[in-house]
Amino acid sequence: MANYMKIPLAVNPPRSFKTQAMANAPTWTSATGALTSGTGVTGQAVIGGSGSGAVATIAIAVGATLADVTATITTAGEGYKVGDRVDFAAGGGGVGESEWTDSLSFIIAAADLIAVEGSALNSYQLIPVDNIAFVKPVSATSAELITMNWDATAGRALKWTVTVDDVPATTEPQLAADLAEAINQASQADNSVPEVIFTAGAEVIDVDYS
Amino acid sequence: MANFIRVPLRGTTSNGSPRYGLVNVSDAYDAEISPASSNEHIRIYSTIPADTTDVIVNIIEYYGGPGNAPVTAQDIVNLKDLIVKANQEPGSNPIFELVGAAVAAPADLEDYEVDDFVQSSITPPL
Repeated sequence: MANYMKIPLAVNPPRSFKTQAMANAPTWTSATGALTSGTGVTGQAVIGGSGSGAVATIAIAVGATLADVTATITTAGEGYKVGDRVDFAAGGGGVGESEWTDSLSFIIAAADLIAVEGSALNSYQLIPVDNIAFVKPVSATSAELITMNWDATAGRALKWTVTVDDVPATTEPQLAADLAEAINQASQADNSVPEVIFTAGAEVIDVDYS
Repeated sequence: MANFIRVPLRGTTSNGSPRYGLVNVSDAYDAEISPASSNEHIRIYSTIPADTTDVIVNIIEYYGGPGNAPVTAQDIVNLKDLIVKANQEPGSNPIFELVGAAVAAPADLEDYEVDDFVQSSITPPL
């Protein structure tokens, strides 16, 4: 008989942007303005959505249509969700710079944010606990479930790596203790399949076995 | 079914959240203080092969702190007894505390708590 635990995978949790160009083309927020191509305009605050703190560079390529507008995130921020609408106030217009004369809006795509494993059809990761050797504290956002399955090629045992978002914050030892407690419960009660309860509501964004 | 022993983890919060780590002792057959570890680490040898000459060894690393040597020979005796108990009573997952923790000053208790686990492949002692 094998005993299992469940690690809940956060489904579209609030999280940070990737520092890269946003995937979707913008629309005008309300009034239709004018676009002028030019060099990128740095330091544009990302306004709205469910998060805060993100900053981007706006650049408009030759052609100067909405499809030519690129918003490249330079500061990742925190707390944004797929589907959020974020705006950039009218800006630019310096010598040689791109310019947009009214506010632009972008809809956040999944590719814009740090990747998460969870989805509506994949809301937890099953972990067999019987061959786990221990839970290794790694950092405040990561812990490893080291197994007793030795990989001779790699020169180490196979392991599960559990990654949580940095917000809401937990700590390195607490993350490991929370996972260990679920293993403890699973091994003490056959068929109970306990779900890990994370202190401070830490959200799992990835679980890998390697 | 796996059998574990639990050990106190250093640095966990004190608001009722879990505070123990655990180590699988299902196939453990020996334990010793790790050589050259300043008596801060315990090796638990398993019967599971890691290659042709080595076995998987799980190592419990105590915080210890500057100049402290928390693990004693009596601790190893107690641990072996607890490994037997854990395997005789599946699901019991007993808690292993170092002897020194019982008489340590509150400020020194963290010396007797675990701050890491390591796994290695080691040739079993003769």
